[in-house]
Amino acid sequence: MLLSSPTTDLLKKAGDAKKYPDNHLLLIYDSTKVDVKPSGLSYFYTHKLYKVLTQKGALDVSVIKYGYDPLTAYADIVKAVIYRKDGRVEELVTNDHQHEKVLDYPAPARGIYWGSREKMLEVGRLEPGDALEVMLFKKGFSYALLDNDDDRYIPPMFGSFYDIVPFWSDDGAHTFIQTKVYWLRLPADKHLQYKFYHGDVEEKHMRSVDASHSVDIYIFTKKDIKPYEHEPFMVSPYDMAPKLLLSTAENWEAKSKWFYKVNEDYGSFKSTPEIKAKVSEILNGAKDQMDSVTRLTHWAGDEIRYSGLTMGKGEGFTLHSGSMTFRDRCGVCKDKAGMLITLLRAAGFESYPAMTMAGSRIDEIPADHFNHCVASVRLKDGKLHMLDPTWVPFRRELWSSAEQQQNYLIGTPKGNPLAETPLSPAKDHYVNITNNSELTNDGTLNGEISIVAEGQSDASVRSMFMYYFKTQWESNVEKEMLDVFPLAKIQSVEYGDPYNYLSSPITIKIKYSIPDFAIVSDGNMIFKSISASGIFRRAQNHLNYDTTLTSRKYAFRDRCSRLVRIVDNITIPAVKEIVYLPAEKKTDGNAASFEGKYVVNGKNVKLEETVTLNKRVYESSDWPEFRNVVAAQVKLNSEKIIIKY
Amino acid sequence: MTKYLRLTTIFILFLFLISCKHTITQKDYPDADAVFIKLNKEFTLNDDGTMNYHYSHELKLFSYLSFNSRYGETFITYNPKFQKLKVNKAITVNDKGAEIHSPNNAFNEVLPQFAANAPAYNYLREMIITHTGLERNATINLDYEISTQKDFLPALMGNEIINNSSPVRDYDFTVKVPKGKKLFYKLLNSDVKPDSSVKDNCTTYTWKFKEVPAQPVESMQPASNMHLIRLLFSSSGNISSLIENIVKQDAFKYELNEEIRKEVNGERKANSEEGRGNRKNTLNTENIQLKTALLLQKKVVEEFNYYPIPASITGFKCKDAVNIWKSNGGTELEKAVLLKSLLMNAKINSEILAVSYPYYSAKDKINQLFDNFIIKAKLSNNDVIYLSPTHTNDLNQIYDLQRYLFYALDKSSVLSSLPNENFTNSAEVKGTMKMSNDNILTGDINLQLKDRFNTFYKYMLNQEAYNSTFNNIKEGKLKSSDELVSVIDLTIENKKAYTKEKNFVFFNIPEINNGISTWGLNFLPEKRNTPFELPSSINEDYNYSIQLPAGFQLLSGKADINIKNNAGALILKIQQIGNTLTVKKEIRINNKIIETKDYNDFKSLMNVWNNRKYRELVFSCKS
Repeated sequence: MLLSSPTTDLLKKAGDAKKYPDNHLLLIYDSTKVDVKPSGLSYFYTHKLYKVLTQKGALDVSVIKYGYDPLTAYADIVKAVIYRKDGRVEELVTNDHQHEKVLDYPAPARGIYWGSREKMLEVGRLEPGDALEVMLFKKGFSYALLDNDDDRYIPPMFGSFYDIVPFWSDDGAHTFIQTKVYWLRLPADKHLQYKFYHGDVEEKHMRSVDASHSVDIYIFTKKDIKPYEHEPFMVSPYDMAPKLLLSTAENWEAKSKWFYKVNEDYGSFKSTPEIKAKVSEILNGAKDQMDSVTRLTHWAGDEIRYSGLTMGKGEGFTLHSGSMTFRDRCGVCKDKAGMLITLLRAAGFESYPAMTMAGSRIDEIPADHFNHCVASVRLKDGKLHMLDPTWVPFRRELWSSAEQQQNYLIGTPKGNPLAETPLSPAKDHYVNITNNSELTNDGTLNGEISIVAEGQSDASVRSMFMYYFKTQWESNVEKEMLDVFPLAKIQSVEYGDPYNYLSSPITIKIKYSIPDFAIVSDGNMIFKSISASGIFRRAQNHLNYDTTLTSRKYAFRDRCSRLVRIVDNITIPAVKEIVYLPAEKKTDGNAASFEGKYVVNGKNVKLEETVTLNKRVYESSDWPEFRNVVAAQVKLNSEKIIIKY
Repeated sequence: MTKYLRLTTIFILFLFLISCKHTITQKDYPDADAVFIKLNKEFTLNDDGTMNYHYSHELKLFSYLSFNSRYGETFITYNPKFQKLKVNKAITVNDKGAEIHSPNNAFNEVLPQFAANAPAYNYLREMIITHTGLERNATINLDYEISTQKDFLPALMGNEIINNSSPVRDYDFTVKVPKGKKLFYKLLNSDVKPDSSVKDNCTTYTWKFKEVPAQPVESMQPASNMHLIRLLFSSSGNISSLIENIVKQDAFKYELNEEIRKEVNGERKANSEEGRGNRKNTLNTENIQLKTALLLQKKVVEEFNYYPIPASITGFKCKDAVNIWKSNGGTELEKAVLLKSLLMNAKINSEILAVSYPYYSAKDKINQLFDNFIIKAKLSNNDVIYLSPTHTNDLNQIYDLQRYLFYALDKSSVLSSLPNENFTNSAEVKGTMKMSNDNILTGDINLQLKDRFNTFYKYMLNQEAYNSTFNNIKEGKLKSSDELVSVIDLTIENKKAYTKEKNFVFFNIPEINNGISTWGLNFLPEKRNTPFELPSSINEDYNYSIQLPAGFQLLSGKADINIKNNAGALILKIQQIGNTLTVKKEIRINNKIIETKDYNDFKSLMNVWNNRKYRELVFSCKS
């Protein structure tokens, strides 16, 4: 389709490992042709020509796999030809023969059991210099199931088409793409919106008119695509690498209305006597509206476990009925959201489902870039508030702040625009580490350290219990201390009942004695604060960032906004002289700030640190501030106090 | 009369009480997340050679963890070419006693993840049963059977750990064999004796276990799980029957075609010439053969996909070398076949060994399901090397395989074990260094690495691999290297040798990069209930002489410690004489596995080794 010259000529001209020393594979062309019918039914023809540059590259293409959901799509590997470097050509699969080599089987699965399948072709051993031509065919949509022949592949939003097309090469694949083409034909009466992000693309638009109908043809071409350079904690490639978004939907409001209607029509949120009885039981004694919403959200979060069974027709875009989820007590995010909406409506609340994208941005082109489903509820302030029963089990939130700065679309009768969740204040995710201790003349530190954490910081700390057997809990707490101070003797630990997460922020207390904590010699005592030693690092994800990176090309992410406060009181023997006290560190900024200092007052040495990190997703321009904060904390934590006593 | 009535009432009450089934609650198992109230496993060998496996359990869930991430699904892998799966029951009884049957869509058959990229094994299947209606205090009732055609395996065999991830209240383990057929078995770490009975031409052995504790969750338990309750059994005492079954396949002719020979012979020739070119360094003629073996291993490991499919689920079916080559991938057994075929082509004698676990012994005559294989090669100088077919070896794999037994995969089926050598596993580090006033540490380091520390094979393929042994290497030389010892001379230059605060200097004593300090042994709690497994026994020894700048005075870290106990020994002597700092630091841990009785001794050695004051020395200095 793309070729104007025979494949062998293309291969000769393509270059080899000497020309592309950093790459394992050369993708000479990666061409996708999409033919959209008036119904929205789409035929995808993908055609690729790989040249193997290294043995690692050969391994990468020794098996070709193509996944599909048989309820909504038909897929096949229709052509595969090996061009050996010595000129031999081996046809593995062509349209008319050897099709039996293509294996069709149920795909491996964990967590979601919707009957996904894969096609697989064994290519076998290739050598550097060999090439592989592959043609894939798919018709259908990413979700739909209707009756009769091709009707099952027509998208549920009838007549609509969208696509999200990466124009990047993942650095992990080490593939250099010489030419990537996306070719789209669709009826001219469809209004296509499209935009190319994060770079340039060559585009062409043609209209072809014949006796029966007219069609628009769009061609997007990009050449010489190098793998992008990875930066630690960078945002998703969808947020920084070249991509093409296309959609025939009018706007997000239209998608919102469709999403509302498809679930209402199915009856996803109909209640039953059993559900009503459960709602009454859950709300028995509820204090107010917020208490009711909290109880219902956490019931759906905790009692509906994440495991996806298929509902058959409609799976993927329809929320399971409340009665099905209530009976199964399991579902994926959309089913947990559906259960919550059913509960809320049964309790008299106005509630709607919403789609969101965890992990990357949703842009203004209404292409369905969604991977997650949540719920919304209208409270007495008249506004719709977001609830996420999938991300809040055993978390003291109704909407996970690990999803702040995240786009979402609520399905409502009148249609809602695309929205974004606000920043969650750092103070809502505080970590308070407090130590009160006494240093004896022989350098032993005796004391009690505690951590109290809220919001997503609570979740980070509580995770040392929630993902482990009860028999591991105490040991996990001890490990926090012994990993940093192997000589520590743990006298007692307290952590309450971690499952009782709604009662109060997680609180852990450790009473300890650490021999040889301080270096004691010739009347000198040298030590650091235990709180600044890296204990409870699990609640301080920012300490995992490498500050030797001076600048960043791309935006980056933390787990959540966060406020860390450390107060460490150490009673020391009578001080004759303070030989060295680490200097106060302070760095201000809008995105992040740090303040930390030691103060000596008589026999008391006090360390106070405050780290404020205001975002989850940071711009690359925020990096200097963020980096300064991390570096300042690390520096202060690493310095020692030296006294004469 | 009153007395009679009272006795009758008491008797009726007694009958009522014993007829009431005690409801198991969290109070009965306060530390458990779940409990198997009943667990049954039944293995049957039928007269016609077919086999059945019948599993059932009644599992009560107490915590969210139990159903969110542990027992919400049951995963059953099987081989549909030879086996049939039948699920008899998947019912949840909820907290209120209602039964919830897993619906039809809760039974999903998929490709097992371990076969995800293996076209030749695309037929294997995993049944995923989703248990619905789960909540705290619900009980899962599960019952399924797998029937197996005859000739899939030559005998009924099993190797079952009785301890589960949660405690088991009643566990019945049954093995049935045709009447007159002997069952070979061995139960480890338990005194339970089987009840045996004969009925309907069938001999039944049943072990009834009560209150089986959950598997302990302590870290670094021995990989062989020798400390758990384990039942080994087989219906045949003839180990060669399984091996004969395996080796009668064409794969075990180890044939290559002309295309493969041409490629590997070409590569071998090129490497041989390169080897001779480097001979003046370390390679002698014998080593060229070793290098050839290592390069062939590298080729099999790195250029061919590895399918981590247990050999037993395939019935030990094995592609031949030509098809492994063509398909560009294989299982562990297939990679072993390919490697042996390539070694044969290179005229290196070798054999494939099936790895048998240390708890088996020849006298028990229990057939077993092998899943791991290694290559034993004998070089022209009579050196014997052990190579993995799935990962490259930095050194002879003999060091990882002590205590294991091996069966040769040939008609002889010879059982062998490695000589129980008392490896020293030593790293001896000597250094003469000089620290300058401007924070630079320079000097010469000599490393003598033996046994497990001697990554001889790595040096064989890359003589500059010493670069990873130590930090701040300015230049170095692999002085000599052979199977027994590698000697490395290094010149180091550390331009940030210490940190300084006021008139105090903090200096970390340099160590090798793969010593005991890098083994993650900080977390050693006071109590330990299970044996503790280290990567190996160890003998790590440092002797440094460091010339200090004028005015440097050692404040902290002075030591003269000598400990010897059941776990090993430790010597620590740190002192300053004049301007010279001398450091003698040695730890010896006698065994790879620290038994619980020796744990406190081990911890006492590690506490000194890990003590920060002996790792970071403090000097006073003039400003």
